[in-house]
Amino acid sequence: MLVDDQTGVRSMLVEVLTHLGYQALEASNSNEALELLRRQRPDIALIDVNIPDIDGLRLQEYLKKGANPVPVILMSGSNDTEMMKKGMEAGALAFLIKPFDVFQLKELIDEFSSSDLCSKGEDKWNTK
Amino acid sequence: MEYKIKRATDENWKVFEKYFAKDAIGDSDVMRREGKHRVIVKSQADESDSEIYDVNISFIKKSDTLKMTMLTIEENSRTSDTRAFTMTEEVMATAIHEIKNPLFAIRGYAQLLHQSFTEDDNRKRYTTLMLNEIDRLHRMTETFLRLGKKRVKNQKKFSVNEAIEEVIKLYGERLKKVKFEKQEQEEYYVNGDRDQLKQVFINLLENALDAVGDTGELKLKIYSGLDKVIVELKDNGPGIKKDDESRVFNAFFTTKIKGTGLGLYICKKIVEEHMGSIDFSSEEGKGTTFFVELPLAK
Repeated sequence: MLVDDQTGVRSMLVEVLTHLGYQALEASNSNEALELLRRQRPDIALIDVNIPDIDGLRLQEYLKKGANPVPVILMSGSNDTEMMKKGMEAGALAFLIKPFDVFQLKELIDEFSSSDLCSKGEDKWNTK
Repeated sequence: MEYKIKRATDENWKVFEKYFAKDAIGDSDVMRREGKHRVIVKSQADESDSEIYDVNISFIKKSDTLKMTMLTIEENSRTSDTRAFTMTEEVMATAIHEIKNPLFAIRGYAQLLHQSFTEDDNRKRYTTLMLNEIDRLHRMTETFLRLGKKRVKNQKKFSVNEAIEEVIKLYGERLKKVKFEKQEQEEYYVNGDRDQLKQVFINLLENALDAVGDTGELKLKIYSGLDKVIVELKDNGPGIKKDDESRVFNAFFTTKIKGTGLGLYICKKIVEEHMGSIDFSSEEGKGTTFFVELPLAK
């Protein structure tokens, strides 16, 4: 699941993720993300911390709760060390500062997402 | 134009109120709603007796009321010169920040393109160049953001030697490769913003290292002259071309492929803000020496 309010960036990342063989669900803010989460459970979430409405860190908190926590990778356009510290302490797998090498995502996702669901071509979003 | 200003909880409001009583706002000439405003407060008794303030205001429109969200009064900015407006630092910073997003999108697509070409394809070379230039633009936005940040001067007395030692540590690995020599007569103290002045030495050292490559020689000297401390950094790099000498401190002037042309420009600004001076002497083929002079703390 990809959460970023910047349409251009979001489209680009979806393109990259698709190219890398993943299926991406997109949301432009936390509310949209929560709406998606009611129907599907992603293997991993890529969240910009500076999204409008509920900020990325709080969305992360929500995703971490419960029996089936979703691993989270955070991203941000600014090099705010305080925010990075908060995010990592709250359990983010990585904190990427934009612009980053987009192919880095492959390594990160493969390393951290529920691996058996992540193989190419599988409909990994369909949970029971 | 008349503004209905809703009282903001912001404590800045108090400052605003202090300077511009409600009546005064009605009489004043506010030029733009957002950004830098010139507020002219005319005296009732004497029309020609007016006071002019430069104020930074930003409003967010909420239904029909304008809610004041931020306001700072630039003290001592009473002035009577022409009404040309300047973009505020805040607006600048936002604009620059907004550039970063599309830039990242472009970078991502460029990476996808880059990956799709084989090594012997000329297009691979083009995308490499594209990526380099995108990264350069990005570094420029970062520098602009740093420049745009309000320079809250953190005036403190500190040891120049110590600050420089910290910079040297940052470049430890790269300095090991070159022949690096440091001479200091004694410990010198200056008043100023330690981080900013460290930035000056970082930029100078970075330039010197770039100039000499992996095999050159660098000499750093710290000594005093009259009431000043002088920091001298000498490299045996290619030197600065005669034609370029007058442009070295200009913004956007660079000879480096990956440079932004802002390093030395920033150095000069910072040093001058500290009542110091920066200069260089250079000979093509032999090297360059930069001098930074700063007033010693009393």
